[in-house]
Amino acid sequence: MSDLNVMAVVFGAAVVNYLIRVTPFFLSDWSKVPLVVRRFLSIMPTAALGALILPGAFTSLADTGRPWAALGGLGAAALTAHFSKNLIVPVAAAVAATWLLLQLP
Amino acid sequence: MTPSEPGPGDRPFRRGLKDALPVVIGYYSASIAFGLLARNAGLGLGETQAFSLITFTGAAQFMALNLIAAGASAPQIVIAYGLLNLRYLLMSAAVAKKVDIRRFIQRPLLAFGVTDENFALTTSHPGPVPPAYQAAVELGPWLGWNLGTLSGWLFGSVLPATLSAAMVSSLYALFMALLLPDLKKGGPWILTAASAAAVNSILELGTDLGSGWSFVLAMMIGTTVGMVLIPVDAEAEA
Repeated sequence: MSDLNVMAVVFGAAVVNYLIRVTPFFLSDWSKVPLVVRRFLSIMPTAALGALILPGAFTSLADTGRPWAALGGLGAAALTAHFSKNLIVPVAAAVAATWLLLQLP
Repeated sequence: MTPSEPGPGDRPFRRGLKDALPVVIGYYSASIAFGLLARNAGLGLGETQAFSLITFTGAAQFMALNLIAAGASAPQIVIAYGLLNLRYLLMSAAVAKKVDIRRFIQRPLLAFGVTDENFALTTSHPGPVPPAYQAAVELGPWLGWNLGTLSGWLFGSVLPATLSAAMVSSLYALFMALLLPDLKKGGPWILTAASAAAVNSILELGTDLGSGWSFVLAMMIGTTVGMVLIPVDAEAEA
């Protein structure tokens, strides 16, 4: 490694990240925000969840050589989430299903 | 399914911790890898832990390690960090809109720990989100992420490889569980999520755009699809 000051990188990154995260919090009066923006923000989580799941669910398993095991995890999560109120249930089911698929000979 | 609903005698902080438990587990497992890789890249414990303590970002921390190892300059790394995390601008806006902020100090404090995962919890929460709930879904995962970083640097990989890969899948299971109620609302919502997922997959796997821009574009395009397809009234009740 060169003479890079890692602490300077960390602080710089922290400042940039915090500015990104904090700016929207200082918008105090949501009623003044145009309807189209509010509508955008209420639909955005659905799109964000789609993009958070794919392709990450598969690429996160790339190192195991079995990215397709993500199908088992996502399927188990969707199925159990349909029947359970508690978020830990689909999560536990997905971990178990993924682990089993990764254990297969 | 949605995160737990507030009932009589609601204790929002405790309820938030319960909802965030899957995130804590997922973060702990994922950040062990960060601690381990940071040590392998030649970073000290202080530098490694500082990343997790004050930037608290998943993918960007891993990217920073790659860039440090590749000999990038400090400004290059900081700019790349910001680009990868531009999505937080939109996510923070959605969270800020949803949290029932009562005191000024809650704004700078609750902005600190917004992540993909607690954004997903907060925006799926039925009705306004109490600040204490928001504090819990940020604090719990922050602790998990930092404990994992610490144990990864100190002890290396404490879990067998397949188990730790399976534990990281808990984050995607959480996203899936939170997306399911949207999918059940019908075609327009399914297409919103599916178009964002498709655009993100194509851009991330098929182009050199980088995951930061890919995600932001996918989110914008998916939301635009939703704004065209989802009836205005239906969305207001959602």
